[in-house]
Amino acid sequence: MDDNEKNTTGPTRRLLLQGMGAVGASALLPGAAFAQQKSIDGLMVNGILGGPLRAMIEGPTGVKVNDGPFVSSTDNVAKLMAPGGGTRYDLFIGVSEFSRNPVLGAGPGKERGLAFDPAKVPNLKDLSAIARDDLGTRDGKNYIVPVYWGYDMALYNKDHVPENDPLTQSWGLMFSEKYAGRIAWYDVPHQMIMVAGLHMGLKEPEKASASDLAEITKFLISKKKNVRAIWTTFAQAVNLMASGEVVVSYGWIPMRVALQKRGFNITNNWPSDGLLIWSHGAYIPKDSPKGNEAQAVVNAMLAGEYGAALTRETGYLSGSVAAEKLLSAEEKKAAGYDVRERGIKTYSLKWPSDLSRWVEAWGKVKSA
Amino acid sequence: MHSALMGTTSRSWGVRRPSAAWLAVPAALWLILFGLAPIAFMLAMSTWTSDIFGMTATWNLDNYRRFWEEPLYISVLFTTVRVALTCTVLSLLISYPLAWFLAERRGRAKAILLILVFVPFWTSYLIRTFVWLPILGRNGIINDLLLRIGIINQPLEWLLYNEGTIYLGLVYVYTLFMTLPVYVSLERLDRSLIAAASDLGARPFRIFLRIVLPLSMPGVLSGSVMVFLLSAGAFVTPQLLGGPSAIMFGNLIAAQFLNNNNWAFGAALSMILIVVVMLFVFVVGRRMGLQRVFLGEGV
Amino acid sequence: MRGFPTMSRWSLALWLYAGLFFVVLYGPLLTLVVFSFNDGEVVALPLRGFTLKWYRAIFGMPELLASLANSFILGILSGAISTALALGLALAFRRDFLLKSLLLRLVLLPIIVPGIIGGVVLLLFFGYFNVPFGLYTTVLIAHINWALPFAFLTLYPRLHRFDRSIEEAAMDLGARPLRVFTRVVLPMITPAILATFLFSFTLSFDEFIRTIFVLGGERTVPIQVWTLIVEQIAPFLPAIGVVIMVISVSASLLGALVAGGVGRRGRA
Repeated sequence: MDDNEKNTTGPTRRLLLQGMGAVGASALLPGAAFAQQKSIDGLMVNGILGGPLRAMIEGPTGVKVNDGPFVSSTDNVAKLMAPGGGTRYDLFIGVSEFSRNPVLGAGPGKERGLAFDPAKVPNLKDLSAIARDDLGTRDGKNYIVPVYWGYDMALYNKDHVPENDPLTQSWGLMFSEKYAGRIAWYDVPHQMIMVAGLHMGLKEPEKASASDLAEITKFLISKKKNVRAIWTTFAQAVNLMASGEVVVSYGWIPMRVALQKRGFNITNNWPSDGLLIWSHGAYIPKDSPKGNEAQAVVNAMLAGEYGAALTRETGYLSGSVAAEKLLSAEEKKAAGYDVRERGIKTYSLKWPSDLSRWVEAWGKVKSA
Repeated sequence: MHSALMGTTSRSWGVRRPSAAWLAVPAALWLILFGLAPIAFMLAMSTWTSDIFGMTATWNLDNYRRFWEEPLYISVLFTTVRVALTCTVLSLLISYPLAWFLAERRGRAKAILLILVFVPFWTSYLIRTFVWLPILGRNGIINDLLLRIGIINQPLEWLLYNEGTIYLGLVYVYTLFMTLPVYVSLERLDRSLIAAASDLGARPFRIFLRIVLPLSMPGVLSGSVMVFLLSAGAFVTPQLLGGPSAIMFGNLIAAQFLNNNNWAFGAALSMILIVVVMLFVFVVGRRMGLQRVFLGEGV
Repeated sequence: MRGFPTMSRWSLALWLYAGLFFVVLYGPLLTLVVFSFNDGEVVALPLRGFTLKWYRAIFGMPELLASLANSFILGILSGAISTALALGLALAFRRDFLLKSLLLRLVLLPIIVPGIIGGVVLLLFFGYFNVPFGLYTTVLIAHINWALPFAFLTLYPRLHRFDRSIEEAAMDLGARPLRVFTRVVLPMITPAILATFLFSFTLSFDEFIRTIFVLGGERTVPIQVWTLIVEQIAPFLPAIGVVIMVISVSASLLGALVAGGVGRRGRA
């Protein structure tokens, strides 16, 4: 075992796992096929491979996905752009908007991503309208393929917050005096500032000028006194709502799903000032040696079976119409596939014109 | 207990003593390659510019200028130093009596107690930080207890999500780094000095001030430097426990890499923190000599 | 201890203080244990009854067990290498040599660099030179960087205290340096070496901040814990904490026993 320091995963890990077989979990032994199996290293929200979902990807493609510790979409981009980024991971999935510029590069010929081959990803034909809007394209070639989409909203506890209150159905809920001391924000600049901008009535918050940004900063600072905590991780947010520490929180879809599955009377609002919509797009580093395997995985993610299961398991909405066909009308409504039809104002998450200033502004909000 | 004569270089009678300096070479090489070189590299990178398309080697001081011009950064730097110093002092006050207590014990009890002090530090520090949430929260254990007993009518809000909680969290995870060096220093203390002083009529407090404290200084300084260093770089604890106004320099740096792609700026901020921290160590080292601080008795 | 009426007042206060200290130190850990058996869906009050399901869940999680294995191996490797490097340093430091104080500053450098920067610095460095990120490449290096100064600081004082007259006597009697080292010095400093190794192992086992920046596809235990927190509600988190604690404590106690036993045998 000691002379295998450089030879990372295969033999060493297998030996160890077999040694621990005493624990009795047959699931431990990946089998002798482990070392020879096709595999890719990916960085994506780990939840999209949870439960039954992993088998739906690895089964049909025969490719094992080693998903690394996902930190954030911007961290993904950072890893892609790090010198040598092409060698670390074979597949990234992150917010399409944030990945667009880095992946496409400054101009033709400067792309960092691999152009998707329609022959290798036949399910591209099933892309839904919302997904199509977010494709990362140049010269007719796709470099970013949205695999699923979602939206951010405010979660609220129905036991304490009335559903039909116009305040509840707006982003104002997160800034209100009414629930002072029982509100939680999300510790991410671009989303919080975006939401504040939407609430303040800015037409295109991502293009906020320096003075607009200063206004938003002042606004956020003034409302901070109503905030109990600012969360960074899923578990924190869920615990904040579930333990009753807060009754309103910035939230993600999987949180709503997780809380509801466990019987909590918590749901999301549909903000009248603009539901924040985003998609997660898949992109492959240009020089990845496993481009084919990665594309096969993306293809499997656009399959109907996976997409429908994704919605049922995590609440994320598949970018494939094939998935929509496999869901009941009720499931689709609960998930929000029909947001555009329902007349809910949506706003696509956009990359801020100067993220560094936004990050700085958020720092000011927090240090005030 | 060995006497304090160890510092002397022993000259043997005519026997050639081979120098063992070459033994340090592997470690030195390692440190140069993986310790110094990356930092030098980061220094270079701090003079480059990051934008949405990547990093370009512009070789200018723009990043540092931004640090200087935007009041946010200096303000947070001050806060960070203040918090780190406070943590250090708190940690010292908390650890010192315990270190003395440990040093006083004998034999098996001592070994057991030492292990008992160590054990909590073998739990993941993340989990040890998280666990404060269900304890201090509005519906947490402490509030629940106090409500049941009837001491309070409403849950205490101030237990969690403020600067005090940061102190609690940091001191809790870093106490061992202070307790251990102080304990080692106190253990080496010659008890006969104390006995002699009290024989001569000195009161306990005076003995402490004039004999014990000065002799334990190496341990105190060593532990203080450690805790200061660790606290100055904290970013998970303030984020988790500190509430809406908790931001330390480590958070600012992290934001450049996790929320943004401004690596060059992150590199500049990192260099600044390193310099500030080094200044602190230098100042302390000046008083006592760096080698004494870290290695205890005279080297 | 000299009998003093006032002394015993201080003594009592000290005992009370120590008691309080341990209560606060162990309180959260006890909380952890209690919650690990709690049949609730989130780590919060109220307590809903006793269950073993979280422990059962952990043992059915291959990723978690894999990360445990990873952390173990990594800890042993980085502990061994750190200790070896530190030993060389400590032995060399017994005497003065050229650039000694400069080298000391170099040794302390990784400690002075605050956690997150320590990780970032390596991310930039390794990324630029296309070093493949992995458990036994970049992460190992990051862990050794972190452990080496501590290993040195632990080992050096013990080596320094070592009574050299025995060593010199052996040399005077004509024994060659290497023999003196293996037959005289080594047996007597073995407990110190073991203690250093254990300490380095512990540091590596719990290392998180640097690791997350230089990780490849595999995870160590702290990273796995972090991933669980980031991605899920993780009500089994307390159970994981307890398991980690039990493993670490057992390993350290075992090591301490061995070190103590060897020490006793080693002493002439």
